[in-house]
Amino acid sequence: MASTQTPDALLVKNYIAGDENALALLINRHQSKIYGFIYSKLADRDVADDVFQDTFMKVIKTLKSNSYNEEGKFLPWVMRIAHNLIVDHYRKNKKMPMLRETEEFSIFSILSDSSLNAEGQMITELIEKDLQRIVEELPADQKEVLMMRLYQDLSFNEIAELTNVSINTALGRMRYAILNMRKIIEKNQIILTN
Amino acid sequence: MAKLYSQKALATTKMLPKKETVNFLLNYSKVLRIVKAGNLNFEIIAN
Repeated sequence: MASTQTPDALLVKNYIAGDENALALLINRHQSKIYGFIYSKLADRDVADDVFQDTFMKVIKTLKSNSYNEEGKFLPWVMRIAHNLIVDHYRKNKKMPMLRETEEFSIFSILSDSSLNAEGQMITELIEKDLQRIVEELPADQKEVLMMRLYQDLSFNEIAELTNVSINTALGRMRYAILNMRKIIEKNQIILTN
Repeated sequence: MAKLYSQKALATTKMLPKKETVNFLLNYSKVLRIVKAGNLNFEIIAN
């Protein structure tokens, strides 16, 4: 076949001139060596395919932007790009190691779902209901301060202003609200933990 | 059963990238245009 005899340099020249077929020939000619080299360093077909793809994307960009110089030969140049990308890959992986599920290692040992399961959700709902009932038992002035502080997230200064009392009174009401809630909890032996 | 004594070469299969990878590269090359403007290179991908 005549095309296999065409030197790389000529194919590169033709490709730069717009002959897309020249690239197909170049890839066909060297894919085995380049892919083999990448695979020998990475030992993972998928990652090797990614690096092979990135390598040729870089080749294509360089050739199309006319920044390729004819100093060296085509194959060693592509191999160098591949080598640099492999180094990049290992550097990136060092920061963020890739983990695969195996028989000894389960991915779920390091991944966890922090949301509650159905039982946990039910318990939380019950606790919230209990808590609401306890708050309802409080005297009105204490309940008001507690609701403003915990549910509306107001500062004691704002609470004092809104309820027309001094800040110390507001603080005192909050303190008594908590003490009273503790008393109710103890008296009725309510458990408020999940 | 008769034993086979012919030796099988260990690395006979050629390592080749996936066909999709090569096809992607060929298509990528076809649609990519690089326009130079001063020091900047603009990559245009025709869709």
